[in-house]
Amino acid sequence: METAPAIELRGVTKTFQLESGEEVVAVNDVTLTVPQGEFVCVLGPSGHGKSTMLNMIAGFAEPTAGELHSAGAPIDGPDPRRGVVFQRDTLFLWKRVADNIAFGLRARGVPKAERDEIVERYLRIIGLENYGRAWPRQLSGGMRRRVAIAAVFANEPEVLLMDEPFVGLDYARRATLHEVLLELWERSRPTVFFVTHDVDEALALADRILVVVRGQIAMEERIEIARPRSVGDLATDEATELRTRILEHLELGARSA
Amino acid sequence: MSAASVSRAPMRRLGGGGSASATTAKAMRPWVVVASVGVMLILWHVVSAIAGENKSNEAMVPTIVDIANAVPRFADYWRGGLGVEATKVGGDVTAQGVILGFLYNVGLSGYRLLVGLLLGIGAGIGLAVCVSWSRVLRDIFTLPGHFARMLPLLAMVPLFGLWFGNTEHGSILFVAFTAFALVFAIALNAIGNVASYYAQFAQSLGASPVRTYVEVILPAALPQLRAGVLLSVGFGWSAVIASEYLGQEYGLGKIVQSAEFFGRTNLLALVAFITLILAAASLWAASRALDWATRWAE
Amino acid sequence: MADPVSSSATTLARPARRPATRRPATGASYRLRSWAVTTLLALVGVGVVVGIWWLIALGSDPVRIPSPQIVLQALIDDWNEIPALSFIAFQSGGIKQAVGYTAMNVVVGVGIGASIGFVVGALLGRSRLARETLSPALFVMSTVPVLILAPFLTIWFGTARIVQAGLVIVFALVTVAAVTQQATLDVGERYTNYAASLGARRSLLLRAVILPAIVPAAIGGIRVAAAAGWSFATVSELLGGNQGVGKLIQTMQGLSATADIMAAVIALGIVAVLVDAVIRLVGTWVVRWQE
Repeated sequence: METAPAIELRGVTKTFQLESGEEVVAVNDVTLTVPQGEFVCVLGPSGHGKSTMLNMIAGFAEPTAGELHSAGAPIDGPDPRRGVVFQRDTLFLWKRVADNIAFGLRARGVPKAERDEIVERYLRIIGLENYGRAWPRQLSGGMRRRVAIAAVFANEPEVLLMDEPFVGLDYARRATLHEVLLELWERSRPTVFFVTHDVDEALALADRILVVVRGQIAMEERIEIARPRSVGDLATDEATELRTRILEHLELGARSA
Repeated sequence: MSAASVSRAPMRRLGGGGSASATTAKAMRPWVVVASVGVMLILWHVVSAIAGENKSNEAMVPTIVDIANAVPRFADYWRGGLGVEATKVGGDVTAQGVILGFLYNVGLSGYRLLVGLLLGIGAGIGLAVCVSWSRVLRDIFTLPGHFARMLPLLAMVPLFGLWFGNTEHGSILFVAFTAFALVFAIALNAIGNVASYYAQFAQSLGASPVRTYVEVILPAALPQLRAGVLLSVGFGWSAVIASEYLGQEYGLGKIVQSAEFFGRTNLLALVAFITLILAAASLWAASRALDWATRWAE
Repeated sequence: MADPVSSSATTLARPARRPATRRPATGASYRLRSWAVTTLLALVGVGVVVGIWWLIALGSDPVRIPSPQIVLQALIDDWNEIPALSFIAFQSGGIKQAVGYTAMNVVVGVGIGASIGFVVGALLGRSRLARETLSPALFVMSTVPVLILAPFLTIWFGTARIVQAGLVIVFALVTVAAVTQQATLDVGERYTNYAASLGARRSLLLRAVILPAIVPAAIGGIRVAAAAGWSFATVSELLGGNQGVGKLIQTMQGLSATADIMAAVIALGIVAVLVDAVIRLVGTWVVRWQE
């Protein structure tokens, strides 16, 4: 079982019925394998099925057809081994920052002493060691995202599903969060399925980029540049050529939509 | 009773969180407020002089002096004991009797209100939580919940009399029933409005459905419950008074009933004044408790 | 922003196959639920409540807790005329007449109270002098248990119809004034500067900016006031009236006619739900420009 891929989709299709009765195919016969420890970024125009794929992998939604597996076992509902970072701010506003990070640990029955230690460690990593007792409303948007990511990492998931987690942040905050994310990722090396619509973000983070257009994988590309990737690393001719190709696919997809 | 709290208190009762923007409006000038209260007091006494007296030789519109003179009447509502004889069996009106009568009736009404509210609000939220477990169940109970809220609740006292007799339990159950009817529909709606991603996030972290409920959905719904809880506290006072008016031996509502029967407008006004103070205090306490419970909210 | 298809995927997520991972139902999960299913479930809800009632009545004295059949029969028999009522209360009419009388009191009472409350609330939101002079009185009116005013109204005005609607008027006035004031204060900050920067004059400001912004809040207040109005109107009749559902309850209590009381209460409740639906419909129409 060691070699079973972290995420496996076989012929997965998901259709929705709109209020008008019209059928929409969000994900169309997708087959995909993500080996353990890989960092995958999924790019695509809005409404083309990226988040639907993520929701099915998370276990929030069921496919209309096809099968999804994680580490060899079929996916049949949310599981703490697959952590999710949402695009929306999902911090529990009624819990202090430390309690937010500890939530998953408590849910899984980790003893208090160990829990406190883990929370302390993650607060330090995300640079908020003095904010454990603060309420989420007292934090800035960027700080909140850091806490949300720490809350998921503290649970030590084998797979991390991220749905446009840094949307709406300015460039500098985003860069800081990329650093924090990569630092956390290097420690435990979970498999990451990262949905974004920002090409530069994908180039900065991914081992492999998937471009999803009209519910299908339209393009797939490996990135071999060592991390952390500087602005210069992503300005080489090779990188620029890759960015151009991705953008062309996205543009094509957007026009056909 | 600061300027801002005057305008905000009822709003919070109805509109839930609301924004606290009243504070940014031009602040009221204390001396104008005091002056206008003074003018109103004078107007009140002018009206009193014009309105005259009723058949029992009591002022139709009692003045402050009349109301103060009604204080000794509380001795008539002491049931007797603790060394002070009840006036209806020949006891004299004494200071102790007045104090005991006051404390006994206020205490009794307060007790019925408190126990009834705790039962009713608890049951309303509890049942809403249970029913919200499944979407189908919630859809099933939405209409009955809405209907219960629309019933002529206060006028159902006689029904409770027929069902449970005019007992202590009858009064408490009646208060509980009104609170339940007001809170249940609002709680059902509030829980339904909790964003689904909170529950999804909790479950993706490994939380069981019970934990998700207790630690995530219920706290998330709390700010929206504020309106219902405060409404039921205000309504609860009306319910206690109605219940005592129609079927109890003692309590503020009973005093209202007999004061009205004997045309004692001054005693009526005194009880109205006392319930005003008590209602203000209980609303203040309830809203402080809710403030504390939702201190995390933005 | 979230793409529409996938965000509905989040809300649509069905409980997973394994029952242990059932997710509590939350959020806008109704979106695709059809109107017919909702109606059907509502009817099931009514059926469940009637069923529970029927079970309780099975083991009880029918005088104390009459079964649904008995109450329905009472509703039919006494719809137009209750003989006992004319005998004891010297009046003719049945449940229909009583419900009509009470409903009229509520509708007119809420109408009067809400109209005054709306003007007062807008005034309070716009004028400091109004706040300074009216807030203390409004605070007293909104805090005192409304029911305590009933005996005064009876002493001052006897059994006049205004007494029966008096509590309704007071509650509607206070409620609508409070929400309208808050909405006016809110709009004061948000829009007036913007509108003024566009050169809008005072009258246009009032008509085109302030009014549309405070009407939705006022309608919410009206619904709360109307819901409570049924209680206040009926209890006023019960304590000091000579007509309406409250008087019917009081008379029938003396005869231990529980079935008639329940029939009248339920009939009034149905009318209340319908009136609420009308207010909501009118409200939605008035603010149809809203999202």
